[in-house]
Amino acid sequence: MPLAAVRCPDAGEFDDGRPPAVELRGVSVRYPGASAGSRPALADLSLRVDPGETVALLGPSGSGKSTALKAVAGFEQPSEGRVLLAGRDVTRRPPAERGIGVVVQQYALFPHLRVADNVAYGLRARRLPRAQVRARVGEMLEMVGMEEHARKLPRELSGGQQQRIAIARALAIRPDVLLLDEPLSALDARMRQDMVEELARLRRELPDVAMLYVTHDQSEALALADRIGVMRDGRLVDLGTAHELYHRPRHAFTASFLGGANLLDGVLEAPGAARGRTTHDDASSPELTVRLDAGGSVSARIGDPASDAGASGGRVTVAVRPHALRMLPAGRDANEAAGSASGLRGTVVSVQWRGTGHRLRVALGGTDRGSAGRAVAVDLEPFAAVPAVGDAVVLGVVRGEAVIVPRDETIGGLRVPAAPVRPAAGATA
Amino acid sequence: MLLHSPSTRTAVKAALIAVLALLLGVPLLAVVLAAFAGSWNGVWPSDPTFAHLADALSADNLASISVSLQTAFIASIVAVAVGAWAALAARSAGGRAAKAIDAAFHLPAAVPSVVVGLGLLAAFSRPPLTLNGTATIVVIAQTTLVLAFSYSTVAGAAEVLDPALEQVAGSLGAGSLRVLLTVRLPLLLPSIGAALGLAFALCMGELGATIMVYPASWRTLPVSIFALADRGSLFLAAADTLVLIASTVAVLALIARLRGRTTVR
Ligand SMILES: Nc1ncnc2c1ncn2[C@@H]1O[C@H](COP(=O)(O)OP(=O)(O)O)[C@@H](O)[C@H]1O
Ligand SMILES: [Mg+2]
Repeated sequence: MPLAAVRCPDAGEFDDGRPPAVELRGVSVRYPGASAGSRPALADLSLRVDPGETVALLGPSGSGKSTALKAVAGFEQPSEGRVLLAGRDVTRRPPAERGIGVVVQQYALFPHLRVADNVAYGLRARRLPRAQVRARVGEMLEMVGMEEHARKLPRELSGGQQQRIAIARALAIRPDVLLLDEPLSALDARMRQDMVEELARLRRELPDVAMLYVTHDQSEALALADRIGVMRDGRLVDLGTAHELYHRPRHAFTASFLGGANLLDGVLEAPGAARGRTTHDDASSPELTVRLDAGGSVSARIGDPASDAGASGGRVTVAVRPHALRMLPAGRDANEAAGSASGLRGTVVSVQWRGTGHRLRVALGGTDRGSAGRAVAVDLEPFAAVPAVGDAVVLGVVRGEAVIVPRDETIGGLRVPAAPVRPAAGATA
Repeated sequence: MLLHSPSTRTAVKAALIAVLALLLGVPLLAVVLAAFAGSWNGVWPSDPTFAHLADALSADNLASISVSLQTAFIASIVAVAVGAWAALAARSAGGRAAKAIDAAFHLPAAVPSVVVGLGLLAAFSRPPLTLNGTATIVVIAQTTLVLAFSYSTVAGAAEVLDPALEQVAGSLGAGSLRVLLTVRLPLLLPSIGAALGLAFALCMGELGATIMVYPASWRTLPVSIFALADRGSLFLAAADTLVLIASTVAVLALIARLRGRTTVR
């Protein structure tokens, strides 16, 4: 797997005269006590956040997102690499000298201090005159709509209110950089939606503050971030705008984590064709035909033009999101009706009602031997006819929605087992 | 242990009360009875009198009370200060250093008090540092003995202190002294208060080491009680014991009140 995959390579060092607000250069973090041979909690992370930009670090639990944030804040010392803030090397400087606003996962409000004193903490540490402290605290509480709670103790507040105070406390010191570690993870779904909107508003009100936003929730990242970095096992595996990552994932992991794509292994019909025929433009990306291990074939775009999909004998993976799969009317000849897919036959192994529509699990390959966990997920369109468990179905793929990514055997879950019946001889065509 | 049936629960409760009564109630009741007894020849004492209590509050004995209170105050405050400092230092140091500090401060609890007394006598009976025969050696003996308890009480609380609080305080611009004074100590205050109460109560009752090192001019109440009992003046010893208990409880109540005030705020 390549190192931090940078799509739109960050522009020159000082493009508009300002150095990046945050810059990580090859930062690795090893926690003391971790055995010497084990992989570091954070491995060789290089990342830049420009002033006013919001970058989200997205990844499953344990992928090193919080560790990356702690390295920026100065809570953990990198074992390798450097941390720069506005061009200044702060790798060995304590947190107090970095002037960064930090909102940690469980808020960490000072339980013995009242709301106003929590917000005032950083101002008092800076020895600001009393009148200024009072004015700034009032201003911050107003910004987060918590004026009437100034005299309360943190334990008298709800989770969402504590969250607001933690943000007000971090922003009171007028930081150039704000770090947020899963700020919404402790809230219920309803509250989370409201807070996402509030954070979006905050971002508009603070156009110069660079934000690094850590989350495992793709919807938060998509809603708030200018760019998203996808983390896995301590590494940054993908970095780009939400649009880029969603429509042109460069790794199977990005595709499955961002949007829950099905990963279908297969072989390129003409491996040589993958090379050199691609451009950066979405529209003119050529469609290549992939013969699937599970039977049938799909035409798909190459996710990352820079990657060599023809390598490893054309063995690739096709990523298809559940909503891009369609159930084709029974009885019609698949070859003529499927559009960008043909012969994608399977058996329905489960049907789940999800409020907005039905999600099917379909075991591909024409057999019902695959368990539900290894079948593809299919989201039916609203009001579509719902098949029953055990029904044989033919699937189609919405044109342009199948993306070819390099095969990565280390990702489980959504992988479809290779069907034993059909040796993919089409690779010679 | 989960006990579901009401009858077993009642039985367990009754057994617990019986054991407590035997272990604590009977000796305590005997002391109270003896303190007011003129004579005690049958099963119950007879000729109730306040004479022993009056004796126990005489000038001579008041001096003993004062010595006990002073020693316990100084020893417990020093022990808690040192214990709390070591607990915080161990937490900051982390890793192997923390384990070493932990072991060192738990050691006195494992050493019998007589050994501590003997050790102090052996160490401080000759120049360069001659403390034998001074009040200081009594204070040192008691401090040493309660240090382990003060340390572990505060260390236990420091252990569960959320490191994120200190980290956030740092990120907001607070140096380590400010973090100590505005975050760590206030949050550890309840455990420091608890350690202070425990240390004080232990000091007030300390006999094993004190009896080996005390000079005639600095006699604590437990030493007086032991001497009286040794001479056979059981009633007077009992009256002194009542005074010891009363003064200890009074100080503990005071500490509890102060703690209540600081934690509620
Ligand atoms: N204080 C710590 N000591 C030792 N290992 C840690 C510590 N914090 C995190 N780790 C390990 O580092 C890895 C990354 O953790 P973290 O950065 O918290 O992940 P995330 O925030 O993405 O869930 C995990 O394997 C975790 O177990
Ligand atoms: Mg985390």
